[in-house]
Amino acid sequence: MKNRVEELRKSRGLRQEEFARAIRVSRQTVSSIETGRYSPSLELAFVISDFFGLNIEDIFIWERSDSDEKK
Amino acid sequence: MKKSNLWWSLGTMALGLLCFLGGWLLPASRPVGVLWGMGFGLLLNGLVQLFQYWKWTRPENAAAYAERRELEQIEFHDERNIRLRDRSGRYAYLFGLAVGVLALLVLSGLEVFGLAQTRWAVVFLGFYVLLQWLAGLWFYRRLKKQF
Repeated sequence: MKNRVEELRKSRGLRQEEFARAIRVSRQTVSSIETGRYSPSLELAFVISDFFGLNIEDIFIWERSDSDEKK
Repeated sequence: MKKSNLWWSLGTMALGLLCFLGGWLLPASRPVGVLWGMGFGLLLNGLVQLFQYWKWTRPENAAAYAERRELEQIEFHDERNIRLRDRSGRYAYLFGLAVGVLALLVLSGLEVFGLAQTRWAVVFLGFYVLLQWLAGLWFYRRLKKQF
């Protein structure tokens, strides 16, 4: 899932290690989230949104596909 | 570091020494070789654990140890790592089943064609593979009810 985590992290002058420590995950998880290879759980998404003081929808970009429309 | 780590290391070393004693007292035979090997392994393992306990309980290492423990906890409870561990466990389970079935076929073939005496190995392996498959089914159904 596309997201703005990297952009927001850098705007606050944080390295991946520092951000990972703050939200209690590994640095590799932060890297995977930022590159879109891993989608966080709802709980972790809320932790990240609380950290940045933004709504989840402002950070994680949900792109609806045709198959999702049919559901 | 907890005191229990110290007791574990001393206990492991004591067990290793017991194995050495057994190997020294018993007449020379194949089991004696196993005892010597186990004794060496346990003693070495105990020594390493003891050194780790000594190193991490030193006051000058307290901060570094706290940092190390915190990182270990984060890595252990990291959701992505948990997911990867679960997935790799499933792959290992399927791989183990496949290897078990293949070994069963090979050993059965050897027995049938009189090339080797593998009857009990075939029986054991057959039960093992069946048990592994049933255990996988049981865990899956139990988890399905739970979640």
